[in-house]
Amino acid sequence: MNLNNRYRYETIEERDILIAVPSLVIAIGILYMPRSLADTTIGLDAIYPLLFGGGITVLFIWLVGRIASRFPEQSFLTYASKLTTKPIAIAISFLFALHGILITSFELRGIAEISHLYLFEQTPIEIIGLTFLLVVVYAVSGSRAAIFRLNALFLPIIMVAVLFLLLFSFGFTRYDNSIPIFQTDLQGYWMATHRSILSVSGFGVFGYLLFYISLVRSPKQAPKKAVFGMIWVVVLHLMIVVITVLVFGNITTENLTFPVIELARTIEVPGGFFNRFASLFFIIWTMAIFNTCAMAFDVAVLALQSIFKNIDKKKIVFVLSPIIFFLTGLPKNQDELGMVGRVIGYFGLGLVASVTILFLLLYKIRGVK
Amino acid sequence: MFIPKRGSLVPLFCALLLLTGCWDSVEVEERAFIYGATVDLSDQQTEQNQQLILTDQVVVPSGIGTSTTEGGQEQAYRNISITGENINHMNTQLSKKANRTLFAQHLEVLIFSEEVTKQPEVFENSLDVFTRGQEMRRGMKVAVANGKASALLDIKPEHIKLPSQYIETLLENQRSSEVAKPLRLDDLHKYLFLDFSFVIPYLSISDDKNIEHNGVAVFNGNERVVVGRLDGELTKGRNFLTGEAEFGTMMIPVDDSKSDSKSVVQFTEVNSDLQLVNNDKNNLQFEIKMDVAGNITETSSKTNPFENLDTYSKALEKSIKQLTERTIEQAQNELQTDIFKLNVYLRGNHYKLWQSIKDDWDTGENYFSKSDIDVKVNGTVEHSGNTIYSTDKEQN
Repeated sequence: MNLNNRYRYETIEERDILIAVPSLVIAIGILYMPRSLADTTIGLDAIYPLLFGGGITVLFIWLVGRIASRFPEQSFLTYASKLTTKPIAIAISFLFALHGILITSFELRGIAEISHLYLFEQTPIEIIGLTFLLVVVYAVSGSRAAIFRLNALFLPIIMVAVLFLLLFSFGFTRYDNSIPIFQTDLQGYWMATHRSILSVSGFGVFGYLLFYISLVRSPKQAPKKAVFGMIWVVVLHLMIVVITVLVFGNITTENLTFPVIELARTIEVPGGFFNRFASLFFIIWTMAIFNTCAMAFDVAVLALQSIFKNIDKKKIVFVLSPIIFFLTGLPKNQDELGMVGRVIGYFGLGLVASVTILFLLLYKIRGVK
Repeated sequence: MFIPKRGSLVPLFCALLLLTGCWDSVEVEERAFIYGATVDLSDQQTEQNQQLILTDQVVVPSGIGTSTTEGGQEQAYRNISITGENINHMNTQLSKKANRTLFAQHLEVLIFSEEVTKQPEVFENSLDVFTRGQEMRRGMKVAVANGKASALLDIKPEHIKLPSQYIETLLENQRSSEVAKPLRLDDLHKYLFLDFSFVIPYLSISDDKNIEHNGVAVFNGNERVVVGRLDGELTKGRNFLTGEAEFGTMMIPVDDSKSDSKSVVQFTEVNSDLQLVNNDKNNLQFEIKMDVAGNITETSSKTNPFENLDTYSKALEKSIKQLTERTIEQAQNELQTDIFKLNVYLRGNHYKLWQSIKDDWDTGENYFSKSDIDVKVNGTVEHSGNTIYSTDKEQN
C-alpha cells in the first residue's frame, strides 16, 4: 500500500511517544493552571482533585494507547474505517483536524498575548503571532520525524527550567500557606477536578496519540510509554501547584493572572544573572509552546492528508496557515481567550473520550484486526 | 527540499527588515532605573480626592562608578516628585521631568508616610499599581516612615551612594529584636486579600546621615488603616510572642532589691508555640509557650553568673513575661488589633471558627480584645561568658 510506504519513511521510536506526551501537553495552560485550581479550593487542597483528575487522564491515555497500538502501521483513517465505516472515520478525522487547528491558534494567541504583555510592549501583537506562526509553519512543512526530534531536543531544557524554577522558589515558601487542610467543599473539589483534567490532558491534545502511535513501527510498548509520559505530566503539574501555593498562598494565587510567570519573576538569587530568571524562563517556555503548536498543526495536517491522499502536504499547510492566523485574532481579550480555551478543551476531551470508548467497544464486539 | 532560486532571494532579504524586532529596544544608557519610591500626602487637596506626592529615586550611573573606578563627587541619584491623585498616572507625568525612560524593574523599596497609611482607601489604592504593573516585582520591601517619607530619600548615608539602597539593607538587618521582619509586597498583598492585621517596619530619621529602623506600624485588616504603632520595646515583646526574634539582647534586673544589679542577655534561640485552649467564640483562650535561651554578655550584679545561672534564668523569665504581658495589654486595649498572628493561626488550624469570627475579629465585636492570652515562658541562660566573677579568696 502506498500509504504504508509513506509511513514507513517517517517512523518514530516508542521512546518518542514518551517524550511526545509531555511536549504536547506542556504549553500555555500550565502558566495559569494554579490560578484556576486555587480558585475553587482552600489551602493546598488543590492537590487531591489534581491527583484524581490526573489519574483519570492517565487511565484514558492508556486506553488510547491500547486501541491505537492494536493496529500497527495503519493510519488512523484506515483502522477507524475498519472499526466503524469510512464516512464516520472521515468525519472523526475532520473533527481532529479542526481541534488541531483550534489548538494551534489558541496557543499562538496565548504566546503572542503573553510576550506582548511581558516582553514587547510596543511590538504589535499580530506581528509577534505572525513571526511565531512562520516558524511553526517551517517545522510542520518539513519531515514529521523532525518534529519528534525537536521534542527530544527541547523537552530536557524545559524540564531543567522547571526544576530551576522550583528549586529557586523553594526559599520563598511559607508553612502558613499550606494550611488549612481539607476545608474545601465538594463543589470546589468537583470544579477543580474538571479543571485539572482539562489542564493535565492539555485541552484534549493527549488524544493525538491516536494518530501518532501509528507512526511507531512496533508499538507493543507504546501504551506503557504513553502512561509514563502522562504520569510525568501529572507530577509536573503537582509540583508547580504545590510550590506556587506555598510561595504565594492560596488567595494570592487565585488573584494572579499568570501565577507561574509571577513565580519566575519572584525569584531573587544573589549574583545578578538569575535575578532576571523570568526572561530565561520565557524563552524556554516559548520552546514548549512551539512544540505544542507544531504538533497540533501537524495532527491537523496528518488528518487532512489521510483524507485527501492526492494533495501535497505543503499545500495543506499553506491553506491552513492563513485560517489559523485568522482564528488567532478572533478573541477580543484575555478573558474571552480563556473561555475559548475551555471550550476547545471540552470539545477535545469529549472527542477523545467518545472516540476511544466507541473504538474499544467496537473492537471488542467486532474483533477486527 | 526547498532550495531558493536566485530571484527569490530578494523577498527573503526584505523579510530581514521585518525580523529585526527593534520595536521595543531601549538602550540601557537611556533607561532611568528607579530604586526607591515614596508616597506622601500633599497639602493641596481637591474636594473629592486626596492628593498624593510620589517621589521616585532614580539611579545616576556615573555617580556610582564601576567596581574599578570610583564614582566622582557627583551625586549618585536624583529624586523626582510629582503631585497627583493616581499613582500610575503620576508616574507617566513624571516622564515629563525625566530625560530618560523610567524603568521600575529594579524598584526595591517602597515607603509610605504614616499619614498616607492612616487614610482609609488611599493606602490600598496607591498599592494597586505596584502589584498590577508588569514590570513591578513582588519582592520589593514596604515600610512606613515617620513624618515625610520623601525626606528619607534625601539622607546622605556614609559608605553608600544611594539612600534607597541604604534603606533596603537597613530593613534587612535583623540583628536587633526591636524591628520587624522586612515586609515584602507579596505578603502585604496576601494580608490585604485575607483581611489580616499585620505590622509594617517603621523608619524615622535620626540625623541627616542616619535613618533609624525602630518599632512597627500596626495595620488593622478590618478597618484597612494603620491604627497606631509599637515602640521598639513592645515590638520586641511582639517578636517574642510570634517567635520572630532571632537576635537581640535584653536587659534583666537580677536582684530586685538593688536597682543597679542589671545584666544583659543575648539570645541564642527564641521559639514560641501557640495553642487555642478554649474555642468558645466569646471566651477564646490562647496559650503561648515560649522557649528562650541566651548567654550573658554583660552584668553589673554581684551575683556570680557562673555559679548562679538559675537565678539569671528566673530573672530572664520574669522580664520576658512582664514585657510580653505589657505588649498584649497594649495590643488588646490600645490598638485593639491582632499583631500576634493569631489570625494566621486561627485560619490555618481552626478554619470554621475563623470564618465565623473573622468579620468581628479585631473590629466591632472585637473577639481579639476579649480573648484571653496566657503566656508561659521557659528561660534558660546557657553560658555566663568568659569572666568568672569571684573574689572570695582575697577577701578571706
